[in-house]
Amino acid sequence: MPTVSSQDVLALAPVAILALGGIALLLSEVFLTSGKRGYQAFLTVLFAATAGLTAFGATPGKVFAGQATADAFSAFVTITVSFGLALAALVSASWLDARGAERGEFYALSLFAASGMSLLGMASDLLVAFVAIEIMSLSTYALAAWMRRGKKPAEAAFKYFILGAFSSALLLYGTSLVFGATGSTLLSDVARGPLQAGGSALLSAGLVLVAAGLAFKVAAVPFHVWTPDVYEGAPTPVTAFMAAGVKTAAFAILARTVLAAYAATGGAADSAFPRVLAVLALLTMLVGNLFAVPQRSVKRMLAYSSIAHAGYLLLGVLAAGLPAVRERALSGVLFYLASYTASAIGAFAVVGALESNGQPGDEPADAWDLERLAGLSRRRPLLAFAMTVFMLSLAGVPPTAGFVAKLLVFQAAVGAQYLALAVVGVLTSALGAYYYLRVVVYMYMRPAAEGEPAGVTSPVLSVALAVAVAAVVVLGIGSEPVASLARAAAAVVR
Amino acid sequence: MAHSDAIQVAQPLLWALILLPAAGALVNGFFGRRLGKGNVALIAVGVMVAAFAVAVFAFFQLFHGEHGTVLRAPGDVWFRVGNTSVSFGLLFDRLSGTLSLVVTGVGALIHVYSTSYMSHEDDFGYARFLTYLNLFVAAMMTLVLGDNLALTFMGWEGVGLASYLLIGFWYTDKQKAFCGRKAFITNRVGDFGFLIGFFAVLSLFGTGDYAQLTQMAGKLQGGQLIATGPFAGWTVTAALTLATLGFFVGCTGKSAQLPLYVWLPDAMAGPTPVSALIHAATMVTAGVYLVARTSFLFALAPASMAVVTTVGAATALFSALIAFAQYDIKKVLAYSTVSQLGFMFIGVGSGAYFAGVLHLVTHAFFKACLFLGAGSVMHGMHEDTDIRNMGGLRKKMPWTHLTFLVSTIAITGFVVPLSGFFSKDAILANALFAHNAMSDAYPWVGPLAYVLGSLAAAGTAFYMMRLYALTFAGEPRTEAARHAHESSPVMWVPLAVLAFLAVVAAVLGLPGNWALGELFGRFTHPVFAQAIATAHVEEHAATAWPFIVAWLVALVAGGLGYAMFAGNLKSIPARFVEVFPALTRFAQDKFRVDELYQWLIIRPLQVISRFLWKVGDALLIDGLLVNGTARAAMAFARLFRTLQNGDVQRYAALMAVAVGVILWTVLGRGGN
Amino acid sequence: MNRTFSKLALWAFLALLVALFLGYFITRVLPDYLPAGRAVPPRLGDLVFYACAAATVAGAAGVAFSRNIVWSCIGLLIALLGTAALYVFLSADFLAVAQLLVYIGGVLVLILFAVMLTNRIGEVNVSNQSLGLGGGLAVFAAVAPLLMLVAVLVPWPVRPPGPMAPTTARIGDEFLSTWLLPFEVASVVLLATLVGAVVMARKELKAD
Repeated sequence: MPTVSSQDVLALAPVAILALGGIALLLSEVFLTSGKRGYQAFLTVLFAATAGLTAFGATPGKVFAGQATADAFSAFVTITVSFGLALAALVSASWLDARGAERGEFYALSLFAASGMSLLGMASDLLVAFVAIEIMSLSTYALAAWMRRGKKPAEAAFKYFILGAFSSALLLYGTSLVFGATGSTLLSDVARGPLQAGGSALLSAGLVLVAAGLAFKVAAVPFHVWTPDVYEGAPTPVTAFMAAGVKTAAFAILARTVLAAYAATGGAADSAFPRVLAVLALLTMLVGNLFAVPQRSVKRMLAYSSIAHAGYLLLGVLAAGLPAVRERALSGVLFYLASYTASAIGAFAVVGALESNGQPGDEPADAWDLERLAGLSRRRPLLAFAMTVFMLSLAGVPPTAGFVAKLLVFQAAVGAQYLALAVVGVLTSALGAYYYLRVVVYMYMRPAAEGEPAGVTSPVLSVALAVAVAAVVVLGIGSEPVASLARAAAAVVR
Repeated sequence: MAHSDAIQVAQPLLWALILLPAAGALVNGFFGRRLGKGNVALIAVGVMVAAFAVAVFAFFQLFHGEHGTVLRAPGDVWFRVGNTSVSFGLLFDRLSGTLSLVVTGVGALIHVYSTSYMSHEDDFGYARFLTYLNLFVAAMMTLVLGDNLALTFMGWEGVGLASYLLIGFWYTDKQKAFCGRKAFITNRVGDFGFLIGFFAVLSLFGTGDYAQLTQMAGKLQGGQLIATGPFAGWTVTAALTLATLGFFVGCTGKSAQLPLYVWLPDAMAGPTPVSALIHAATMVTAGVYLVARTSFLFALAPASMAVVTTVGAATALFSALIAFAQYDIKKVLAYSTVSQLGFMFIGVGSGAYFAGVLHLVTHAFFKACLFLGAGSVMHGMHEDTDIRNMGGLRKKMPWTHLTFLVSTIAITGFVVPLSGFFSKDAILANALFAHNAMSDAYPWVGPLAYVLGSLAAAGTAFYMMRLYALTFAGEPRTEAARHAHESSPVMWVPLAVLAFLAVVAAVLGLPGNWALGELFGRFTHPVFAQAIATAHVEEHAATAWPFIVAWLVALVAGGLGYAMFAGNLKSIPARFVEVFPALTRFAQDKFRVDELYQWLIIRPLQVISRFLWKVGDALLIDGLLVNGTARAAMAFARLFRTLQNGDVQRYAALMAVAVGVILWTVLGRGGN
Repeated sequence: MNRTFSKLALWAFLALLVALFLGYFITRVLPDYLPAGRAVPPRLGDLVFYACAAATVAGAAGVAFSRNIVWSCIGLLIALLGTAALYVFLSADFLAVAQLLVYIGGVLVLILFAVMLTNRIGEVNVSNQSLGLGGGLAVFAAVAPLLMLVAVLVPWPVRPPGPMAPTTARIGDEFLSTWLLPFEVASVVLLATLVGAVVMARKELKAD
């Protein structure tokens, strides 16, 4: 009977810190004497920072009999998630405060979700992964329903919940089939292939279902349909956190699972898995970008753009199938996730700052219309500048983080001989520049509509935006420190 | 050593060439509104003058040593791709040094000019415009100074963004928004080509650093087979042909060559002559610079050289023809720019690297002068740009007239050969006589380029003289022209400086084998030495006849142009007879001559150029490429939006069907 | 009258389809893959197993197809009961009881309460309107045969069910040793769910 050592527990410290932080924030609401809640966001940032630092110092190794792995990879994921959480908390503080909706439970749920994400980065067992996904998902379902003003948020949360349950069912069913074929849920056992000759069909079916469940979480086409509605309906800071955090965590476990699947089904080149993944990546890049073009709502455009970015990330995961470029591809994916976290949260933060203050029942259809950005450079030059930086990064224009990220991923794809997909990737990101730059055009070249409000900003939001801009620029210009971390992280994944 | 100290100082200072304009853009961008116009202008012009001073200082360091010193500012690692690391490093050699001088020098003059030209904008617009200009220079300097392809690409994208902002500066109506979109889409097509070339080079050499690339390319033989990587099994020539053609696709976008030239005339017809100029004199030369910079790669791929030369020659003639039928002063200059870029590509494509770059430099001077002159004319004419409404401005705007005339002569070689004539002649003579890898493989390319180029040169002389004649010569044809006035000295002093440079730059390109002969060719030789060695470029004996032919061509075509557009006006004939006695008959018998030319030359040419313009530009590019792309994307999106109708059950069903399809695919192959 | 008839016809058609499919599957597909010597006469236990499995499937079908939400609840009850019975077949006594206690005793009763307490439940007769029968059949046809094929074709690692023995102690041991991590982490799931439920159930937030 395996025993649990202190090392096992210590390895999970980041997860525990985030969960404990959630409980602390819950309790803070109980002992609240005044109506002032400004400290809650800072407390969240503090817990996030502690968790990130702890992940840095964790001793690498497999814990809990291989069910979880604390390594550089999981540390990178935890740090990225914590960074996203801290940014999102600061953005939320400003956004919620303006609407009188700031409560400890909000941060508690965010912290719980982050603990799930962090655990997902470590999970190397399908069952642990499932439980971690549930922590993450259930918390985000509730967060999506945080504001119930107007129909959209409630509808978004409901949709997310129903479809999320559906994807969880797929995941669980797949896990049971995998267990049937291999007699284990450990990814290391799965990688060895089926127990009995002829069991590969069962294993493949199980892995496909697991991958489909994960594809839902990363919003890969055709499992993406929920994304635009949910991203648009959820409170903007929550959307930011979902786009960045859920994507990061889900891609972490997807990468580990796909690598195990590659090993189990024998080689990357001649099996159906890479082909299916390639088709998914292709569809995701095409659909995400093409759909984003006609959107007038910036928030919805960013939702489609998030799908498009999932396509580029899938391309990286796909390339990781080839052992020769695995390290390059995975480090590209990790770097991409870090850069996307900063850019997407920043972009959503600006969108959130500009939307109307949301009195109960007040939900203009054009709450996120491009027109709201018109003339922003005149009203709020710094805000417009920050948005420009985020748009450029999402479009992949140098010298921002997005450019380096795209370059790393495409280069890995070329190295893995997926030339056609890399070409599609470059072409679609050229198309992407069209709708990202349209936002810039509106901000700088269109006169403001009469009586357009200046939007909400607060010191915390300014700090968050400054940090995000700095991250985007630093990752774009001095990418080496983070990229070397990502390389170290990618090197440990087999 | 004193000058080694100076070099030590100069190397880190290279960063100032980029950071100074960038800082100017940042300060003006954020605080410009509150600073007031005076301070904004001071900052914007100040950083440019400072950058120019730095460039001059650094440029003088290049003269040390036998084969020229190369200044480097090595930077930290930017990012790593696999085992390759790409770093921020600046390279200031005789090529990028020359370009730096042009960009900062001409750029500074443009800044000075625009402080006056844009003065009727409100504070915010004024600051915004100068911010974009500074941003543009910063990006352009990144492009020029970067010591690797990645940094060049960064500048490449940066100038694209800045130009998008500049084109869009006064964009309120749909037509101009369309121009912006056109520029953007055609340039993205080009960028795509650049990236293909970049990736191909990375895969082949594992580095994007110019110095390393030069070294590695020097050891390659064209017929060698590549053993590993995505190009395994290809020959070096084949792989490099792909890479360099990729780069050239990028150049056709950025430098407005066939078939992607279409955005440039529209973009220039748009907002201000200032932004038009910044495109004409600097940005569009980025493609020429890229080909020159990677000439050692092009030298290994004769097919690419042939493509560059042919496309350049075709563009030169094509756009010269189009310029015949234009009446907008800026459009004529715009098509002229496209045409001159074609000459530059003939040069860098056919192995006359120095000549191509020299033409770039001289063109920057005289075209800047022409554009600024056009701006001055527009100022005097109350923003009218139709040359049919002008005439007789010679007396109203003496300074503008003088500088415009000098530049026109410089570009055509009409009457007295000035700078542009020599650089153009060097290009054409080289295309005809050069013996190199390209002319060995494709012997017809050189003569073809010579013929097309000479025709284009004739065309250039013709339409430039027509432009000059209609604008400045004769009597005023409208009230506005009668009351035109000279612009302020802040505007005409830069004109004078540029005209002076356009004359003086002739020294750089003088042919022959003496102290001043081939000055620029000898100066840039270290940069192109390897490309010349690889492509086996052989010195050709200098013969006089092409030079004389070119001059005669310019003379005849220019005279024809002048005769046809100024000669039939009543006040001119006497003067006309004085200058061109041979043409008196035409002037006296003007009706028949007019009709003759009308039917023999102008009509057919008008029809042809209209046709080219309508079919090539309006129908194919505007209709199919620009609007078509947008429309196709919209239609596709609408199709899929019916799926995205917000119905949860439909979403779930879609996911279930997807799972089913994937399962069938995977299991249909036996679970492997 | 007409509606009832058409409804009946629809159900009959559906039943016919399923019967045809099953019949084809059992007579044509299965024999090819089953080892020759396996054609033993069914035992009583097998019959009971099939009965339980059929009840589970029928209950699930009732949940999906019934237009009355109360009938859907009853269908769910049958499905959950059938599952509990299947657990018994697998000698999983603890699971079977937990299924009864938690799902039928707790979850289902709660659902029924919620349904009954909701106003005007009788008027709600919309269940599956947007995705018609055709779509449902298409999804069914895309996925079901394949999964059945996999289930039948693949040689499962077979282990005869052992004698009924109490498994509770073993499950407890496993939870606290091998499966300690998911077990403990599940507590965070529960906490997050609780908080989330409260968040969704509370009144709309206003500045205090």
